[in-house]
Amino acid sequence: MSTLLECKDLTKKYGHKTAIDHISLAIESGHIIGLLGPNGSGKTTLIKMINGLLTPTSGTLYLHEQPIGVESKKHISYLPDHTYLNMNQRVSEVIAFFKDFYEDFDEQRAYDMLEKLHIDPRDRLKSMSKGTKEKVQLILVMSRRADLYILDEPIAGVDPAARDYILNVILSNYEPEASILISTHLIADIENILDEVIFIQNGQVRLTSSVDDIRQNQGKSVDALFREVFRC
Amino acid sequence: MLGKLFKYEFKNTAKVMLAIYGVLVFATLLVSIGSSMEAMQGVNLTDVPPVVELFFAASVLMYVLSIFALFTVSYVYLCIHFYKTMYSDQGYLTHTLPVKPVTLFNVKLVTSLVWMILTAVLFALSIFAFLIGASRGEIFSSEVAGRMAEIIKYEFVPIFGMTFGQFLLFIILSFIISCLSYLLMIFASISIGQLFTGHKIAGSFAAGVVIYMVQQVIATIVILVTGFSTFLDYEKIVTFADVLFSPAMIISMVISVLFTVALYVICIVMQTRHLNLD
Repeated sequence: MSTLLECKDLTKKYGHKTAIDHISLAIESGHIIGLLGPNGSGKTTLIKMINGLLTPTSGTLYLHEQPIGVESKKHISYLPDHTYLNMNQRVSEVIAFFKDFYEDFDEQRAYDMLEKLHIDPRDRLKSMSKGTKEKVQLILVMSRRADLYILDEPIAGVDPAARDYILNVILSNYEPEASILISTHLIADIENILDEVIFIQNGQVRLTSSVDDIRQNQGKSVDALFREVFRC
Repeated sequence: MLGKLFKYEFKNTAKVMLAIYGVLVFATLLVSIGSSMEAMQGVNLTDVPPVVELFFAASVLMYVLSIFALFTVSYVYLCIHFYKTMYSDQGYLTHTLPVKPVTLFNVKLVTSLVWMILTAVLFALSIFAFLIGASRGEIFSSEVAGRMAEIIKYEFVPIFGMTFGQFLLFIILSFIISCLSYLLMIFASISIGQLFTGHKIAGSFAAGVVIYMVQQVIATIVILVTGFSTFLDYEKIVTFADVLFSPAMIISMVISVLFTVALYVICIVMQTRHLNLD
């Protein structure tokens, strides 16, 4: 296993407020990692910097030992925590767009998933419910054969019944050598699929551990440990 | 990749732009019919019926409004489209495409410029159509065409100090630079505005006001320093070209181009080094 993503001494400040405070961490390939922390801990800020949407105040970020840029964007498949598509477009048009711009996009995989979820590709996004839009976005993101999938709150907007399906979509559609970084508050729902966790608080890494280690050595679930670490 | 970017950029903007053009085409048709009806009535009858007068007045009003809307709505729409696709929610998709930020920006700028040029071409065609209606097609007569050719050949150079072709080239170049300048002024304001946390639109307005003020101060200084010398040499002004290529105008044009380049550089720096989709 090789280092996929590495950030060194990463800092992001908004005026006087420090959102990310000298974070250094590495993500290996072939893992599913939970990026967990309370509201305002800096999870989304960190994710945006990895995707090149925010410029770090200081520090460095590398994917495959290359700085974040055009090359890294070819290998990262990103699901933001809100809708980011043009709502006037049909699902089929968005699929054509992804196919045009991402070499690793598997069109057939996307249509297969849409069919399983009974989503008509001819429907316009604006005519869909919030949950269906989120499913479409997840399908688009997971239809890429990327090296790193970054999912920011992938199950927050869907009902509990659909969560299992979405987790199944995530698990059955990523390449074994790829990694998935999932940010969420709904730890109990996803902890069974996690290999590792990164606890983040006030822009700093509070804990990094394998899930096995938490269960075997500490005798706790990730959810229980999270509640203990971040107790108000 | 560049071709794909242009394809989607034109596709995404075409719907609204073509709708705007459609309104102008409709208004042009109305005013052409109205003006030709009035022209015919004016020749054949002493009194023009009130209905024709009313139709003509309404069509002229709609035409003037649509001409005004053509430029303002196109310009405002292209600026809003830039903001929406670069810095609002859709910006998350735009900026995670595996494309250089400079390329992304250039495609948006060139597409907007092409739409502005098309708008101007449509405006010129519309005026031409109006003249055809008003002259009842006499604009195509050999007499008018002959007179026009005569003016262009013999009378244009003594008045303008340049050939008709040179004048046309100057107008086209000036229009393109003006369009770039207007577009970049808003694009740069929006790009600076996204640096603000929480008040991005207010920040964009503030940046726009500052950019406009800086431009006006520079323009005023240039006129004060160079303008007087030009007016003092007014005896040397014989043709339009003497005014156009006077030191004051040349310096103004150079500064205008430099200012446009500076706005472009600001946009690129914001895209590449200070992107802030918080």
